[in-house]
Amino acid sequence: MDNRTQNLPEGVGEKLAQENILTRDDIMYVDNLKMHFPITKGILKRQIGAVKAVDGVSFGIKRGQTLGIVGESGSGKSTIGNCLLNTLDITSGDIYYEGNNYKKISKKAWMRMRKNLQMVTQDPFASLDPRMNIFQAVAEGLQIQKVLKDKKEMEAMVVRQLQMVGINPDFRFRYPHEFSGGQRQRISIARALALQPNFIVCDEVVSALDVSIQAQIVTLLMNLQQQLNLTYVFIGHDLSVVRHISNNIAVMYLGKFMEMTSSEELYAHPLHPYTQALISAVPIPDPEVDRTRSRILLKGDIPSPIHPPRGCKFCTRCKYADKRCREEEPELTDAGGGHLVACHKAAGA
Amino acid sequence: MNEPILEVQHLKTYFYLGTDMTTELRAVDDLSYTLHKGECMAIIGESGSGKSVSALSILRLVSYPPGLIVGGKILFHGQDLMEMDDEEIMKIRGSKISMIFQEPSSALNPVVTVGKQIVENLLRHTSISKEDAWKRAVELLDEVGIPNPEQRVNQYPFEFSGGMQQRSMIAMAMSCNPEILICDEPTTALDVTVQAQVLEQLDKLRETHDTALIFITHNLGVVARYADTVKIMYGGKVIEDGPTDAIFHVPHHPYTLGLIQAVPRLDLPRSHGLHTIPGEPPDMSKIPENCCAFAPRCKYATEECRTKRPQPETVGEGHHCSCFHMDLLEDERNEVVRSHG
Repeated sequence: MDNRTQNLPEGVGEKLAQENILTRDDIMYVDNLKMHFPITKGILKRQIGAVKAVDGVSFGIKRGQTLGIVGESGSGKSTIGNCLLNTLDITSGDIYYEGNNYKKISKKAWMRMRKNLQMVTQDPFASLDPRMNIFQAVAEGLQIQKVLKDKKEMEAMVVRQLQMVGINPDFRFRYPHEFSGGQRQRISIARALALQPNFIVCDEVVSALDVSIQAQIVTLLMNLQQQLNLTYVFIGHDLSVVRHISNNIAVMYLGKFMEMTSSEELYAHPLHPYTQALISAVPIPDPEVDRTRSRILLKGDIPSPIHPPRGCKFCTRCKYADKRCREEEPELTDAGGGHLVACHKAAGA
Repeated sequence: MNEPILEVQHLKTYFYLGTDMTTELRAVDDLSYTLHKGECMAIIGESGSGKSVSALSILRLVSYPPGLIVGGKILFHGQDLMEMDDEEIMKIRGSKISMIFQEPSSALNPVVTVGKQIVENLLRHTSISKEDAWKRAVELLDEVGIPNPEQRVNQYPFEFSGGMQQRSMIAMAMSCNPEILICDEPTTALDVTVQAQVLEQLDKLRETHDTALIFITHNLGVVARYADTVKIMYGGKVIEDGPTDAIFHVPHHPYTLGLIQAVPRLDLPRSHGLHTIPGEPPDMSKIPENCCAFAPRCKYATEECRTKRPQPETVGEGHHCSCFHMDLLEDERNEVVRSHG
């Protein structure tokens, strides 16, 4: 048994290894994850329903790679990110980080492991404490985890982190309001990197930034990944940005994966009607190309995850939907070459 | 081209900052353009380039202190908006010229129903009865593609999704059939799928009502399909402007070329890579008067760029560019055009 599976409960590691699901390179493996948030009513907190934010997804991420998760607001993509960092009490399913099941892990062991998993969030204006200068912000994790006792060492570490993300370390005693959006996002990245993690969830990290700055941040993240052998989960709604950084992309809709494959394959041969709509919605900065492209416009909004439609979750907005789609939910199946798609109509489409 | 409806001449909007208001920030510095009936004009720029202030200035929505329109004329059908008194300009705001904003959730009043907010505008600017105004509100919501408008009209903004909020903003802005609709980053806060819906909606409205659109955004990709003309703003000035095709295919300013390359292209292979414009947008209060504001981030910059201000030169039909080194850009431009196929 290799060291990747030795921490698993008895039997599970072998089972996963047998099925070739958990391989030596998988840093994160998720098995049928469900995260339902209860809706309660009255003082007795009687449960009257549930928001099925994530409703049964499975995937593995190889070390040093990036998994992109694309979807509209309300599709559950950020909830997955939070589940991966063990900040939520998941409803069912299993998450294995380096072979350790989050459910089975002791509090003490988790505290030690915690520093290896970090997150960078969307809004750089909200994610930094306005009353902490950026030295304090970057050093906070180091202090909590007590990795460095020596003050000088800590200072050197912070300076190194800031240099790595392209912030002049002389500015380390300035406060967040003195920086632009792009710079703040760099500081957030430095803060996440301070504890030398190997797994980072990037949740819509460029959505709030100008186009010219978006490219800088994505390039920075890609360079850091190469230097430090980081694994990313990159969450976004704009396929053109996500494709750039991701090895594999999962397209998410109402808590389910609709399609999952390599990022090249996803753009070249999108099989799911939802993926096709997502691709056609991304504008192309060339008037001739963009005007001649046919655009698939989706009608309306994503349905409420409290009352998801029966059958295929996408059937209410899908132009190919028929009786079967409205009754029977399609499974995520391999359409060839590891290209997974959940659609009754996709076969041969 | 149709008849001109709006002429902006040498508009200057400055902000005065600091405790003694001595720091001068030239947010819009000598902006001139003509907008024609039914035209879609895009103004592109990064945060802090003055693009939004230029739009607010048209409706005289810049408050003093700290902002002040220090010079220029804004001629709407030949009438100078700058010389109107408050009552006259209020008749134009929301009826002849209206505006939609980036963040629909903060632009809508959270404690008033969506219908009432539309009716309010109708009653203010037209002489229809209250009953007809409510009927019209339902029609308007239907027109922008909101399902069940009869019920939705009585709901509050929080009951709407982001896309629906933005669509009801459009309904409100279109309620008095304005001649000009100013859209300030209307899709930046929305998902790409909803962005596509909203853009189609705006284009449809332009076609059916012949409304002129001023479309402000930081993403060149968004406007490629819809805009007739494009203006690129940097540091409070228009550095390049011209017909959309010319801007995208023969950009003359290094900044324009950088912006075009910075948008990730979904139609090109991933190996094509991402291009970045180094540095950050400038601090507007620190731009010296006599220089090219882009010089610190420009790889072609020379001493001339740091000591003299480039003036707009005509480089094609209706295509102007302010740069000393346009000729140096030719090789890079050809390279980019070739790689974009």
